[in-house]
Amino acid sequence: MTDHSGFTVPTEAPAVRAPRKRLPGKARFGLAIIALYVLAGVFGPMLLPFDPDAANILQRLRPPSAQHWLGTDQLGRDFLVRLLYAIRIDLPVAFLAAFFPMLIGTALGAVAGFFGRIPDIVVSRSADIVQAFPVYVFLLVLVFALGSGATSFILAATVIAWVGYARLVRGEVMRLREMEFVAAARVSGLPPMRILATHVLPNALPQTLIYFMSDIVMMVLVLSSLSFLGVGIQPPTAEWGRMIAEGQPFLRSQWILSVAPGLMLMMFGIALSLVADGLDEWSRK
Amino acid sequence: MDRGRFIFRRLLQTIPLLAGIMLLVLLLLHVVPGDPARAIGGISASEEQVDQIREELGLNRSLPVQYVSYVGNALRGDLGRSTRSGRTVTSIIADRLAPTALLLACGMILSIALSSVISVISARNKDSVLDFALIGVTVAGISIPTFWAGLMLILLIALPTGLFPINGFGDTPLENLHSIVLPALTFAIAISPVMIRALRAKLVDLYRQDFVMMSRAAGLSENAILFRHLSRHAAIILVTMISVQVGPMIFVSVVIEKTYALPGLGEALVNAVSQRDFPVIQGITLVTALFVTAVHLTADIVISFLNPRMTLK
Repeated sequence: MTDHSGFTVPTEAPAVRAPRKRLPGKARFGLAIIALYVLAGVFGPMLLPFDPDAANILQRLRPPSAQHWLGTDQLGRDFLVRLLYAIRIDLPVAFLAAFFPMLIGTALGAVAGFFGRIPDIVVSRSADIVQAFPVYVFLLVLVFALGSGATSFILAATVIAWVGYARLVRGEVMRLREMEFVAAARVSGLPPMRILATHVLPNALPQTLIYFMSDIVMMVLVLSSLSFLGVGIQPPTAEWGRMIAEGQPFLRSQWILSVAPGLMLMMFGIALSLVADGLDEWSRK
Repeated sequence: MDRGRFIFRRLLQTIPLLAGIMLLVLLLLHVVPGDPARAIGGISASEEQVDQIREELGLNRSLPVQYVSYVGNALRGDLGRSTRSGRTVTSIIADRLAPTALLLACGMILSIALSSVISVISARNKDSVLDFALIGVTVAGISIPTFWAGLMLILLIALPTGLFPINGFGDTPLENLHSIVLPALTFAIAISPVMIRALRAKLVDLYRQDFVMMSRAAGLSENAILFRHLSRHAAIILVTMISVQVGPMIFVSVVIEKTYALPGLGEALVNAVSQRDFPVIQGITLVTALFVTAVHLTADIVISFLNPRMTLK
């Protein structure tokens, strides 16, 4: 018998370990792109002889040349090095802004779904209230209230984005709770927390991970949007959304300043979506 | 259980929700690190000015007292005054409502139309090259930053053709509509992909059902099957998606208003944020939360008509 998470659930016979399944091609393609991003982010800025933050007004808005492959921005900084340097900001910040909500949301959702009653009421009602807000507008306001910057963004994301994970895990756990293998574990006298941690939660993991990946895509888009609006990552730090905003006045003359960071964002999002899609297919196999 | 009781219960559930929303909006002021009055006044404000701000915002009273007076005032339509311009927050919101409302309305209509057409084409030609191409576009669409999509429309359509204004809202209704074309298109680029995903999946599932096979066997045309039998199921998914997506829609419209310099609520919010104008920030946040709650509620009621089974639980 196979449930929605795709894991083999033993009903009569003990589980037989399924043969290793290969990840679908699109997931591997997506992972390859993400690996490229990571490599470019780590080594790219080291290989280029430019400081991403050092302004040089005499060299401002230069078109692409042999020296500056993508030209220079409005402050005369090499654009390519900033584009690569931004990987070091956007990727880790988006990752953490999805990771902490996942930890908290999963814990709360699991407890709410498994024990029901008061924990469930508290978690579900709190989730209702957070969800009554346009979440990312709330995030914007919260980041502002906490003071712009990466730490505030991650903190505000944690306050808000746990809700999605809590709902997802709560639903999964409520479904799994009724399964026979959980009843068997109960009858054999395992303590409830142990059943939850070792028997129920692992089965909710694939769906949570898939959600986590699409959440990273959302978070990198929201982070860049907030920076575009002037609330997120502050200048002079290189960040794609901020770079697009700074390039906007020069849309006519030097469109590459606005186009390139957007492409970087989009490619990253597509790559991660492919991984999530592939993982979803893989877990259902 | 009948529909009347379902709706009544759903309305009742909204009351504690509204109380929670207002508490969170009030608490926004208190998550500011350090002294909120000093944060609003800025470093240059004198001690007296900071005291005055504290007095105006009622920050020297206890939190429960602040909460009761905030709720009481809000119920009377008083959301305080801007600490910058001194205008009432309510009048600022009233001034800024039109562009946002028009953007949301046009954007939503465009998104629904676009996602319906694409989903039907995709589901009818499941697993064809066309279907894969459309899925590809959808995956890419989810990853496009909204403000960037807006700039690309300016770069690729507005600047070369000169047909559309790239900022402002205009004064006459016709100018308003003209200036909302590209923002609404940007809105659709941001919102449709998620809707297409859900709608296509639902349609693919529906086309596999026995009743569709029966209808085909009975000689109904594909369009008759679609409009007579599938449209109701599809409408449920669309309404659900609007309900789920309304939060992102508002965020998207904030970003779009900033991109196209539309003088709407979102632009007012971003300006208020840059001026640390807390009453305006709180007021607009509250209004958007009320809007989201209203949409959730309406969607549930509409779905209870489309799908009577829902009222059973």
